[in-house]
Amino acid sequence: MLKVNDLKVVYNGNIKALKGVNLEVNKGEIVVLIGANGAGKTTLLRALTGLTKAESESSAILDLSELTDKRTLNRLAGPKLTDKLLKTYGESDIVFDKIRSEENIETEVFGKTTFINRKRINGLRKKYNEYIKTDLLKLPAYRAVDYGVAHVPEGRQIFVGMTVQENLEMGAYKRHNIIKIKKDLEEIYKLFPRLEERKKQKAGTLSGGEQQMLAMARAMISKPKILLLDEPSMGLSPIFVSEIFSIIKALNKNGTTILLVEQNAKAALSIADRGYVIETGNIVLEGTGKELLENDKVKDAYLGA
Amino acid sequence: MSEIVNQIIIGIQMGSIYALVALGYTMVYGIIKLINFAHGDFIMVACFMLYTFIIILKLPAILGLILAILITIIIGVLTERVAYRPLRKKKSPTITALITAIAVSLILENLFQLLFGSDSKMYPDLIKQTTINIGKISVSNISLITIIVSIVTMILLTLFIKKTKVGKAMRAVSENSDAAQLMGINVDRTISITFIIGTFLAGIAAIMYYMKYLKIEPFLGSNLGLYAFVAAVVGGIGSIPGACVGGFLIGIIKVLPNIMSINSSYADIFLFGLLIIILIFKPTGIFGKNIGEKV
Repeated sequence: MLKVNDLKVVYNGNIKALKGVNLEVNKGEIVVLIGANGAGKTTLLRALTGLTKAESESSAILDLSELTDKRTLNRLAGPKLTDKLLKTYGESDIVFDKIRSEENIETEVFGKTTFINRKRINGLRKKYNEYIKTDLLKLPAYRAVDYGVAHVPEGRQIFVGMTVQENLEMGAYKRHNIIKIKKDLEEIYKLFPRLEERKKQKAGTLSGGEQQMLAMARAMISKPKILLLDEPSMGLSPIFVSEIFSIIKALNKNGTTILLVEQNAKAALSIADRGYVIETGNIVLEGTGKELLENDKVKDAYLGA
Repeated sequence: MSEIVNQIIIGIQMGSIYALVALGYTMVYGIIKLINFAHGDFIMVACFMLYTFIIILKLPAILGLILAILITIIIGVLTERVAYRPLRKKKSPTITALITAIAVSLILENLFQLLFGSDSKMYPDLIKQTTINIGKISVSNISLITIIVSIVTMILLTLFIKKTKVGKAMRAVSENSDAAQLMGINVDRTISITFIIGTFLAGIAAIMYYMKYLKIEPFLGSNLGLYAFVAAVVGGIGSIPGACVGGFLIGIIKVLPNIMSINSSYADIFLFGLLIIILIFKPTGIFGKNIGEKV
C-alpha cells in the first residue's frame, strides 16, 4: 500500500536525519518502526505527510488501487459524473473495473459517443492513473488527508484552545456529508466514552492519556486508509498504554493499515505484523514482529532484557 | 452631566474606529504571530481610495465605498503574498518579518505622498451631519452610525470565527499550523482569508474615520495604527473580544481630559501610562491567556 524509496531528509543543509530509508507497508498490516531518540522516527512520519521536506530523489508511493468506494469515485469524477456512472453500473467497484479496463464506455454511460463524452471519460482515466500512484512526498501537507493518510503527530498536537468536539470536527474538515460525520462522531464517542463526557471542555484541560485519545479520534474521523502514529504511548501510565494499544489493534481489525513509531518496543512489536529498526537515519533490521522480539540485538538495545 | 455623556459618546465613537483597526492587528498576529505595522496604512490607503472615487471621480458614494474596500483588500492580500509569505516559507525569524512590515508601512506612506502630495485633503460631508437630541444629550448621526456599524461588525466577526468552518480553520491554524495542515487545512489560503477580513475591517474603519474627520493625509495611518496597536495589546493581542474592549477603552481615555477639563495632552500620558501598568501586571493583556500544553 505504501512503498518508501530512498527517503532522505537533510536539516539545515548538513544534518542528515534520514539517509535513504526503504520500507514497505502492505494493506491491512500493522508495521512498527522502533528506534532510539534521534534515530529519525518522527522525521520519517513528518516527511511522509509533507510537514518536513524530503530530498527530491526520495519517493513514497501510495498505492490506492484497492480503494473502490463511492467517496473516492466522487472525488475523482465529481458528483455529476459519479451519479451517471453509478446509475449505469450500480456499484462503485464495477465502475472502477470499467475505468481500469480499456473499453469504450462512453456510449454505455452517456447513451451516445461524442467528442466531449470521450474526453470526460479519458480525463477520469488519467486522473485515476495518477491518483493510484501518488507520490506522497510531492504533495503539500494539507493534501495528505485527501489520499486517506492520517498522521497523529508526536506530542499529540491537539488544538488545546478548542473544545473536544471542535477538535473532532477539525478532523472531519475535508468531509462534507454532515449526517455521516454525525454518525461517525457517535461511534467515536462510543469507543472513547471519556471524550464524550468532556466534549464541551477545552481540549487543553484533558489529561495526557485523554489528549492522546483525542488525537487518535481526531485522526480516525477523517476515515483514513493508513494511519501514521507517532509514539502514542509517550508519557502515559501503563493502564493508558495498554488501552491505546488495544485501540490500535481494533482499528487495524476494522481495515485501517497502520504505521506505528514507538519507543515502547515490547508492546509495539507484540501487536505488529512486521517491524523495522532504525538507527541514526538508517534501517538496520527488519522482520516480523515475532522475529524482532526474539532478535538478540533488539533484546539488548530496545527490550532491556 | 450631559456634557460628560456627550464626551463619552465621542469617546466610544473613536473607540469603535480603534477597535476595528485593533481587530486587524490582533487577527493577523493570532494567525502568523506578526505585528503587521502596515495595518494602519491600509486605513490610509482606503481613505485615499474613498477620496479618489467619491471626491475626484465623483462616483456615487456607495460604489465608491465598495471599490475603496475592494482595493484595500487587494493591497492587503498582495502585501502578504509579496512581502510576508516568502519570509514564512524560509522560516525566517520574527524580527525579519517585523522589519519587513515597517518597510511596507514606509513604502505605502511615501507612495501615497508621491501620488497625492503631503498636504491634508479636506472634503465635504459624506452624509449630512445632523444632531439627534435625547433629553439634554445630543448625539450626531455620524457617531451613532459609527458605533452601531462597528458593534454589528464585531458581533458578525465573532460569530464567523466561532461558528463557521473557515472561522474554525482560522483558529486551528492560529493554534497549531502543523496540526491544522494534517486536518487538510490549506494554511496559506487561511492566512490570505485572514488578511482579507483584516483589510475589510480596515476599510470599514476608514469609512468611519473619513466621515468623522473630513480630512486625510498620507501619514494618518501611523498615528491611528499606533493607538489601535495599543488597544490590541491592552486587550490582549490575539484575542478578539480583547481588541474590541481595548479599542473602546482607548477611545474613552482619549476624551478623559475633556471630561476633567484639563489639557488634552494628558490623554496620551494616561493612555501610555495605562499601557505600562497593564504590561507590568498582566503582560498578556486584559483578555490574553496562556493555555499550558500538557505533555
